[in-house]
Amino acid sequence: MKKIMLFVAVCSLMLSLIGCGKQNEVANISLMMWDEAQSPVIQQSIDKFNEKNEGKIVASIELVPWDSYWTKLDASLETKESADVMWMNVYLPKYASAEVVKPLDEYIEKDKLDLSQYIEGRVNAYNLDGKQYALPKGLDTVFVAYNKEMFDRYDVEYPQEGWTWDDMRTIAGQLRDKISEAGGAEYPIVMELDDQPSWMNFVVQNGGNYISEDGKTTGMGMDESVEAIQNMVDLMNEELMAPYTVLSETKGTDLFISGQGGMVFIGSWKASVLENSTLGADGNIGLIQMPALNGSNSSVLGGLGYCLSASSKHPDEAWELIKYITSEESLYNEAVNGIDIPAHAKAQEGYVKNFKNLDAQVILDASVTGFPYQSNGNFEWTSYVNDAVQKALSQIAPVKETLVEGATQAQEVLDELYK
Amino acid sequence: MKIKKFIKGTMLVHIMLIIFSFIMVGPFIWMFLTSIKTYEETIRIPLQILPKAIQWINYGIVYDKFPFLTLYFNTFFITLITIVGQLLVVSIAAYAFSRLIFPGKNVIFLMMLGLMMVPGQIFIIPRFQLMVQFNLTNTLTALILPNIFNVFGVFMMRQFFSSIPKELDEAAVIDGCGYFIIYWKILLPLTKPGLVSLGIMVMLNTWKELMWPIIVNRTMDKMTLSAGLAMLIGEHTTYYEQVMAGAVISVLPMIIIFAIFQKQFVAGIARAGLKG
Repeated sequence: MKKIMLFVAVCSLMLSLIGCGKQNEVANISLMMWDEAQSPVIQQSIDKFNEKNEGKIVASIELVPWDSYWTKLDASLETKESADVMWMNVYLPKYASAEVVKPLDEYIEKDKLDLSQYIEGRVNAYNLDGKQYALPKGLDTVFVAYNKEMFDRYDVEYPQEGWTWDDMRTIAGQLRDKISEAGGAEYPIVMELDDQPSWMNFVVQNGGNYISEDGKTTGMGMDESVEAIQNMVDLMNEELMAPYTVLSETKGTDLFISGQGGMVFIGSWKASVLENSTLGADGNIGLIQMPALNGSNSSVLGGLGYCLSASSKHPDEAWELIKYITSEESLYNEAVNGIDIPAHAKAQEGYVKNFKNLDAQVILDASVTGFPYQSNGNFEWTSYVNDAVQKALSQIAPVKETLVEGATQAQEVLDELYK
Repeated sequence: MKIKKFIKGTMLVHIMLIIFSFIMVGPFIWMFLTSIKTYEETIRIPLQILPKAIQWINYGIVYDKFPFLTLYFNTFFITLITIVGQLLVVSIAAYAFSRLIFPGKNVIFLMMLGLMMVPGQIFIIPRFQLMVQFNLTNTLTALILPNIFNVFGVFMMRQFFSSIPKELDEAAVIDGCGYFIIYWKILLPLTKPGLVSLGIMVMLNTWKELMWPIIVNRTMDKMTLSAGLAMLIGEHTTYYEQVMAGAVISVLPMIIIFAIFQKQFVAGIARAGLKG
């Protein structure tokens, strides 16, 4: 009997406790992201946010591996079980048109948030049909790194700012000849043959495009695009660049860090790898903007932003979190810890401080002339052109025919989409 | 003469065994070697086999990142429950399909086999929706429940049951056994080899399951080992030495358990096989 009484007492106590919790109404919100390497630094911002909103909001990180991120996002948005705030990139149009992420305009207006404090290109990247769907977090730029030690050893002059594609061919040619004279096995140029760090830059610089501004036509079959890809094939054929078989098997960055490449086309996401490498620690890595092709050295500008789930149960609190983690204070902290280049202009100076072995200003400067990663948020057509580019680069088929064929197939998919 | 015989027989066998054991152990050695390198050494071209200095610190870094004990417990727990649950459910279903007579039996069985031809990924979102409706997201139950039933297991066990002569059932009926007693006391002990091999298969599948835990669960304390390790794989840069250090930490207890109970493992499988 006593036991039962005790049980009832404990139960009622617990019930009352639950009741108390509800009265205080602490909003639990979560942030879904994929990069484990960034999570400790972002956790610092979250901790500060929770401190400021003690008793009102408790935010936490939900970490998902990159490979499963989009599958999980699809599943969780569909069932309205998603995190409140989430990382977003070029996939935004897909989620915006499904109306599973919320436009932020009313919040921006209410809090009179000044969007001009962010880098313009990154704000526009999340603006669709006049609606702002995300606040920018950081940005990625692409540039060229060169191995000073190798240039010195072979007595070739470093590339100079303002160089052109032809200059690059001359320098690479000198390297090639000196390397073969000395019986070396290094490659003058290496790159990763993905769109962002390599060919999308050249296509756009040369006057072609991956997808038109309105997102309805792909320009990968244009003569300008074909010529850009042909330029890369020429580099390989003249042994100025490592052959396709090597570059498709091994990452360009890995070759470069191992001292196998003279110059590498590389993205800012690899900057900390360069900084911490032996090559970098010995002061042997020089950075420079891309060579100008057809008068332009504009490079791809990528990056992430924070979206608000349309099914969030605490949208106001989630907005507060978005506002705080994209503030100068939070992004500056990310910058000095070297995890991202802030999309917040004032926070950017923190990024340069993080590097001792690299001239990080080059990385920042590349963002000024950069163009946003070309995408219409649909990925049904992209494999046709991406496969065609790889086929053309591997030279199993003629460049022009392959690209035109791939672009035609992609266009059929696009036409079907925008009928 | 003796030596010649030795060379011909035993030595040849031993050489073969040594070569094959190196092939089998190779990946594990590579995993360990990678785990004690620096990042630069892991990506160096040409390949660097031995590290310059041993980097035990990788283990510290990874251990601090994840609650390994919790992950270990979760993985062990769901594997155990899934095996027990699945063997029970699957064998009962298989018994029904093999022995009982009910209308539409073959049609139902065929429909079930049809499920095997559908790729598993298709079920992820509907399964997730079910878990949401049951209010089971972010629980260990969500990792166990969908795996309790296994079409292939039912098919396999049905074949085992069908290979046992029906006369045994008839004799049992004469002795006064009901359906359940026949299943439990007569047939189940005879299908042990099938249960053991199914159990091993279930164990492997549950242990390495990756996608589902990540999708249905949200916090680290409800994840499994493989899901935890997958967090280390980045979009652009993966620190292989950390991934491999994590992998060593996760397989080490298994290897130790196997080393201690090796005799029992082998004997158990062999005995089960003989009885069948």
